[in-house]
Amino acid sequence: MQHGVVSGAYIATGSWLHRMDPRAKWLAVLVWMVSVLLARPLWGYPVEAATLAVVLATTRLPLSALFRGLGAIWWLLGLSALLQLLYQHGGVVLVRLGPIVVTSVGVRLAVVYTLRVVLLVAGAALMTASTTPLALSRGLEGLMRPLRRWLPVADFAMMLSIALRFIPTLLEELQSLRFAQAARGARFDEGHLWHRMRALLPLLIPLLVLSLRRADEIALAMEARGYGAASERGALHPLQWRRADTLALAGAVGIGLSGLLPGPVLGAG
Amino acid sequence: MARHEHLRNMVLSALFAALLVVSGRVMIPLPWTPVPITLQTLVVMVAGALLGPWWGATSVVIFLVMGAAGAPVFAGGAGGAVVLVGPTGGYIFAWLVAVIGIGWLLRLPIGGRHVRLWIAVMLFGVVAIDLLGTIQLAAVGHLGFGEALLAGVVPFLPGDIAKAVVTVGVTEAVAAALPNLPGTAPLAPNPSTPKPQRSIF
Repeated sequence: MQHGVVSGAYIATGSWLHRMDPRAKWLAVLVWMVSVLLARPLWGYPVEAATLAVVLATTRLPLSALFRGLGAIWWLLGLSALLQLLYQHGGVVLVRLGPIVVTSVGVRLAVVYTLRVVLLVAGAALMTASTTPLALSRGLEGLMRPLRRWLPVADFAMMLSIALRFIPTLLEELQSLRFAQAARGARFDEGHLWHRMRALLPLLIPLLVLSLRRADEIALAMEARGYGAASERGALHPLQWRRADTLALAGAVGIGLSGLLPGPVLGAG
Repeated sequence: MARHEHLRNMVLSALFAALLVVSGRVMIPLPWTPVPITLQTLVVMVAGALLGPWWGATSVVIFLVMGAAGAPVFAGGAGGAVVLVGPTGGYIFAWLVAVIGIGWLLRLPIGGRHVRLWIAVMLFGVVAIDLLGTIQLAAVGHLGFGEALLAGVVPFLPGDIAKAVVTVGVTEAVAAALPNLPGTAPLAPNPSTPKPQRSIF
């Protein structure tokens, strides 16, 4: 059981990336995703990987921060690469072992697909590693502000903050419920599927009831402090867009565009 | 009073989104596949049944936004929009359909609430999620529909059905303890019982 799942993704190093306006970081991540999806692999991927290396070096974030987001996808990534390798045929036959045929097209698709997913995850991971959950939700709120006439943007951002704030609390609660049940002799790690599911009932029902009761208290506390009374909520530290944010965003767009350039085309496209 | 209700429902949705993340950390390994199952679909079904279609969907959307932003909220600590557009993303998008479907079906004035709950979790919690998930798995993973079913549904079907059954038990237990949730309030089992006093206002 890990603690502080979401806050655990944040690594404070106080770098330029950490000081960036969260709105700029959201936009940069969007630009990053689009540019990875559109990039020409042979030229764009090395440029993007180099960008990651530079950002990592200048922000003193550990390499592991980039790949934490992959989680169990590693396994799926490997499986899909294997499937591409075995079932996508075309180009030059590289290996022929009985029924197994590996062609150059299969190899290319497997490599490109895997790299694409890794680059996408790594780019988004930079944002979560350098931004606190609260700043993330405020950045999103700031960007969606133009929509506030049609959508309850502020309410949504509030819900996002509450959810992020209570993940560690609920994890802790789950842990103590687990201990309480274990003290009564409950086993969660043996028996077949159905037994394991049944063993989780005395954890789930109290967890749900506890958190749903708490919703009432939180709502009351918010009301007592006048939430929703003013037409617009202010902030103690308003977000500030600096010239550095514009520069960083322009850099992201530049790198994205450079990935679209023809560059050295070696049979890929 | 109406504002308190609205605020409380907002907080409920937020806490359910947090519960969705937490339940992704409770893993049950299956001996026949390397991918463990989590309790996330169970919480999705409970959200639909207890919060109703609107607030249930809100909590799933909050969860999706957290995940798309790269927070490690998906099963096994994965995160990022790439999970959603990847081969298994369909199973997660389908939650939105499931949560709305379950909440909606429970509000239909047909049969008893208990019967509707069984139908809803089986139809939307198992069939709809697996069907939509398989479509994306087949499309993104370049697989045939049959292969996708074999890879993405068959190994998990016993777990899915077990989760649906547990959902019914959990929902009824929680609804009995808290009879005025948005998904249960209009159809409280016994309307003659006085509403418990909730606030001093």
